[in-house]
Amino acid sequence: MTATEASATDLDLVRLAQAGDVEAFGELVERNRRAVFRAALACVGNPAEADDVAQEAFVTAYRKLSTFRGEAQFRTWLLSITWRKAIDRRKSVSRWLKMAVAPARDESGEDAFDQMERVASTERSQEDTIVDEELQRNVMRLIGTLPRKLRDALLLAGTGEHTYEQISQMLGAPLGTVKWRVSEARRVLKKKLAALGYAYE
Amino acid sequence: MSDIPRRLGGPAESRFDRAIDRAVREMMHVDPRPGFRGRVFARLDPEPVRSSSMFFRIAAGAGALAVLVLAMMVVRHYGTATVDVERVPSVADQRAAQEPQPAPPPVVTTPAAAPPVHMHRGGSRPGRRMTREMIPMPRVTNVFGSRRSAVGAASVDADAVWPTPTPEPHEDRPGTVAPLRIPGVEPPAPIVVAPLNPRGPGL
Repeated sequence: MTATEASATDLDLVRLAQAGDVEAFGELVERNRRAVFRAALACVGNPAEADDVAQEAFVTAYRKLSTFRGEAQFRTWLLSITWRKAIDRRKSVSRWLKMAVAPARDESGEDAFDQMERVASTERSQEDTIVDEELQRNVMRLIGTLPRKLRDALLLAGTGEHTYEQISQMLGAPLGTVKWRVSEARRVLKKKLAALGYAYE
Repeated sequence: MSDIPRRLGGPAESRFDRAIDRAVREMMHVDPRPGFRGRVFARLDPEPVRSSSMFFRIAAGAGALAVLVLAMMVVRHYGTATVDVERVPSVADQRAAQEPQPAPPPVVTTPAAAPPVHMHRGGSRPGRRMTREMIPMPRVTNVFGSRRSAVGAASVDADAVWPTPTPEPHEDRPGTVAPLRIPGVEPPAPIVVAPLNPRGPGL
């Protein structure tokens, strides 16, 4: 990465990539890989599949780069591609068959959300170690039971990489609807936690 | 767990909110495995970004070429192929086979006509074969003879003398019957009928 590329905006890098500068596109990959990966992860729920979807999204973006006119932000455009790819993956017949044959369990007996929990647990902070582990696991499990629309909005809002506007673009829903879905997801989770017997201690 | 009646009061809500935030953060704050950029580039085409018009041009050319080759293959295939048809002999065929067959008429073929080529695909299949081979039409001379020897009004000599036809006798004329004559019997005298007198007889 050159100093010019480091200080260039996404749009500048896009123009360079459109002119055939592959390194400029590589810089775009570096800048956006986390946001793309997490968007895919929020949709498919599996880090390995999310990684594959993110790669597909970048490849598609590279091939369609000549159609990008710069009316929207590059990241918003890229996240829209990512979300469509992730939805396709979620709906894919092969994935459905895989789930049907081995219902969300791999060889180690873990499902997708167990894997996410395991991967995330390696990065736990000191603060997190003092919280109720059982409550934490139950919240993660309950998130997996939320309706798709509510779960997508809640997880995308929790990535720390996407603004509400970008989430609205990805989901194809108005901004107010996205905010309502996040709020509704939290309300449903609290209700389910209360039903499990959790209360103020 | 607790047996205390669950109420979503203020402190409980804040606890739940913290738990949800933490759970979502732990689920989503995951980074892709190292080497992500290399994996993306490994899946990219070796060629740089290509304009869509160039792609469509190449695709259109390839499509046209494919259609042309396909059309040539179809023409070759259906132009010379043999269609094998299983045919059950009909009653007329069986009768014709039993009757003595007349000698085949002589067929005059042109020198350029090639002998029929049997292109049977598929080996030994029982039954009668109907081929679609080209059978040249025989070149036959005029069945009415030469046009020079034909009679025509234009070829009649105007100075020629033609004999006057004489009527043939009744006996010789075919198709006529002579009056009946019985020997020993005179024919009756002809009956003469006087003209009628309107005033009466003898007046």
